[in-house]
Amino acid sequence: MPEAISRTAPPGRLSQTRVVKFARIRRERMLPSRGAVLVTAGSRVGALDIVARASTGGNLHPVPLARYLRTKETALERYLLKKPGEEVADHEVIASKPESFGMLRRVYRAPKAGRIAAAQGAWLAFDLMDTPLELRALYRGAVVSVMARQGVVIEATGALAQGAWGAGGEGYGVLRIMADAPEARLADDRIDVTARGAVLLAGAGVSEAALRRAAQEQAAGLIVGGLAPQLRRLVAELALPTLVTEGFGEHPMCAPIFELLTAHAGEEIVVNAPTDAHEATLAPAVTASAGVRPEAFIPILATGRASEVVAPPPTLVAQTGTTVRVIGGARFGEIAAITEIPTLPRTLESGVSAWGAEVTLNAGDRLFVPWENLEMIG
Amino acid sequence: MADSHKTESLLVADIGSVTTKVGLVDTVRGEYRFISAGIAATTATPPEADILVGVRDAIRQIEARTERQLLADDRQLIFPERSSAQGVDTFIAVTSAPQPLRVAIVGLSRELSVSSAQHAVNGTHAVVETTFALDETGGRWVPVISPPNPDAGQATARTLLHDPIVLAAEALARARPDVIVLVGGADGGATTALYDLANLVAVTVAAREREASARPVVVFAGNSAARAQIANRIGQITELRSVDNVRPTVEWENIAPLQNELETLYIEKKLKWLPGLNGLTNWTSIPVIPGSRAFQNVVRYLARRFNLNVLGADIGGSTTTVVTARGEATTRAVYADLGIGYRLDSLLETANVERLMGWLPIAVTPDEARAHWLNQSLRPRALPLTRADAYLMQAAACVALATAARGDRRPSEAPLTAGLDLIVLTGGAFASNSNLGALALLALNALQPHGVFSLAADSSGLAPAFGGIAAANPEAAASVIERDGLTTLGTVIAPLSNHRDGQLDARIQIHPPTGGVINLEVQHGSLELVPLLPGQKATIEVRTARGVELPQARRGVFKAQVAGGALGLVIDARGRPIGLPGDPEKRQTKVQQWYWDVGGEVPYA
Repeated sequence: MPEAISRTAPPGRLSQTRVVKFARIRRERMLPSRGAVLVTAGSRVGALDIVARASTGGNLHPVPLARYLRTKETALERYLLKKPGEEVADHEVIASKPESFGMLRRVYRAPKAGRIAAAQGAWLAFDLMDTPLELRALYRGAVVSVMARQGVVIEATGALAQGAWGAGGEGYGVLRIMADAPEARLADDRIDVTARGAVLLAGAGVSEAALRRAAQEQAAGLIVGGLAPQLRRLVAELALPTLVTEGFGEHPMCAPIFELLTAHAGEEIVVNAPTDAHEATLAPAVTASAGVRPEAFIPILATGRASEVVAPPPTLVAQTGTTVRVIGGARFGEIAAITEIPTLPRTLESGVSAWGAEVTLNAGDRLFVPWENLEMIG
Repeated sequence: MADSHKTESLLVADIGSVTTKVGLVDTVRGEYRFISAGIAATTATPPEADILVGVRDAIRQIEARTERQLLADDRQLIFPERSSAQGVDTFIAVTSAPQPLRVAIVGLSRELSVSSAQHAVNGTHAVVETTFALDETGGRWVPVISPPNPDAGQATARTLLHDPIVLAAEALARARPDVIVLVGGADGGATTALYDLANLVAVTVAAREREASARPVVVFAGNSAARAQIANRIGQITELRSVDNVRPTVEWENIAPLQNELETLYIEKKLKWLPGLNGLTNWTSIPVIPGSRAFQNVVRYLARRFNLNVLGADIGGSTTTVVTARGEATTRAVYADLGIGYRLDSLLETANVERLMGWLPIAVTPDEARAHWLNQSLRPRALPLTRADAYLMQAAACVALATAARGDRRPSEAPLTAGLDLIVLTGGAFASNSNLGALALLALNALQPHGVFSLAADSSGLAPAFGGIAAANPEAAASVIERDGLTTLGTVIAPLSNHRDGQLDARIQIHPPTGGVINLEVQHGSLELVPLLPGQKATIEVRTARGVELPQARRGVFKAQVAGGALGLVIDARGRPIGLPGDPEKRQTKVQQWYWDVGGEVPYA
């Protein structure tokens, strides 16, 4: 047997949450449907710069036109005034059929401006014009690659904190600290007009009224430790970009994330929490680009000094001394350090026998936690 | 790669959405036996985005436990097995890790063709994203009412933005399916409406994606006489595949051809794109197959080998599968968005939180319970640490299994659990469950079967993977399934009656192998265990009271020799459906009583 093979069950791969003070990251910025990329590789972009634009959001409107004109599908083509691929104006007549010996005409008008996307048989499909979809860079940095008609990859330097869950979209603003401590709960009376355009840092939780107030005052985003389960949908409905760092329920924001963010009070911050990213996070991805976690990012320009190493976030390794977060049980969310790796599995209160580690919590308590319930953080 | 007939040792991997399990099977005294297993996190998502990483992690655990080198220095599997017992002869993998196939169903009739197509989809790793039934949209002959003429000399057709057929067509156009299933019409019947639907499908597909390669595949499973015309209308727009009619007549449903095609598409569009699959296929001698199909092999094998009616339940992180095999007839329901890991959120949507809480023996608020389950969906690998965690997982698994077993069965269909001889349990919910009594309770509460039947649990969590062996080495598959794959929990006797609690349901006389006689009076509402060790058999005689049904009984008497198990005999006289008190405190007391009744702390495996 080679020496490399351990006689103890290896810890396997622990899940991890990246909380990094300064690193170089790359992020894909992709249009939901094909459009035009407006920047080139090598361009410097600011957070609010538009990097790509799609002319329509794919608002398709199929209509049974032959039925509306009371004609056979084979005869429809002769009454069409516009052909597939052509643009149409709002309420423009696109089909006209003579009736009553030519005395009257039965016409069909486009419901909105757009394009005739396709026609077949009795059916015709409009691609109706929506507000053009503009994709912002969100991450201040450099475009390192361009995917034609789809999007770009941006490289940025700064501080990064990944969340457990997010929804509400993308936000960019100045970070405002609304919690005196990670255990604090954000109430609506603390939110006023100064929230406008700001990303609010709450502590352990947020009330429904505070969420509504934040949206009303047009806050750019919210970062909170825990979210009451019943507020999940509200976050998406309010379109308030919200990053939840610990999970559902009320949980104090873990110290590494709270300390990182409070150190950057008043600075620009990005909250990237698209609602549909939740699906990607929950379900196993089939592509490497899916499964991206919601995150907060504080852009920090590299000074260019030779002594400054701007590297991707370092790889985390589970070993004695590694900082971990406890997942589950009464100590949910608490930060600890691995102090010992036992060589045998242990039986938990639940009756499950599991391999794991002895960890020392920040409060000094020591306990055994299965590998499956530890998350590396850093 | 070694020839299959020379195979002596095998590694089998089951790559789930949450965990990857690998098992080592080798010949011991001429028989294939399960030797050891490793379990690791599935690494299909970033940062690894390579399933091989998780497979290697699990293999390293086997290396550590068996002191047998399986991976070479270059991290490749050692093939074939060397004389020094390094490496293995064959590697086989099954998976349920890919995202499910997203399907849109377009058909003529909600109750007929669309319903049958939905039934077919539920048997595969697919989820229905949207359905379009022409008969729900007012059909093709809704009268068009013209509004007053606004322009002199012209009749203006209304834009009809709220026309039901347009709203349904818009919903279809908004969906982003991988596959559109087009169904409708009895074989040899009318085709005009079907052609109209084909045109609708064609325009929505053509309008949505300008590039043909990005367009969904259309599977036509309707009136076979329409195939040529359907091909004319859709074949130019996107890839079209035709299979036998899913509803050839009003009375006859024929879902197998559509299911087979959907499974082929799942493999082509999802499974083959699993990150790292290419590296994995370099190790495998046969193609990687879906876990549900492999599990079906196990259930079918058990049914044929022992001439039993078998139900298999696999509750995973993202998918819950229920398979039945009765003789040659097999059914499979795959709920690809129902699980106790990633898809716990979907379970909470499908079944409200109160339904899950009904099976809890502890007092928690709905918000606490909901938060716990949602947090589990965010970190699905997390094990239950406390007793309360374990109860919460049990409750979720119970409702997931109940939902999948009920499925889309019609009122006229017999319950899935009717006439069963054996129930086999596997999946993440059972793998982390160390309490066999609680495991049996979960199955009984979820499925609520009645009669006399056996309960068995997958002892290694590798039952689906063993089913995957069948294609490469049937002898090895049969050997490990029979000898090592399952732990028999015991024989369940579940009479059915409308009695009140405390009324006599049956008298049972048990002749244990150790001698003597045990006489039991079974009262309605009771749940109890009678010890009978694994491998032991006892003769039982059940005499049912008036008004009590036990399908195997003849004139109220059932006499047979039954096998023991880790739990022994389980006598479940709680009636069906099992009544749960409305008062939360009384309900928790009752559920807690059942936990105590089934034996509490029996160590698992």
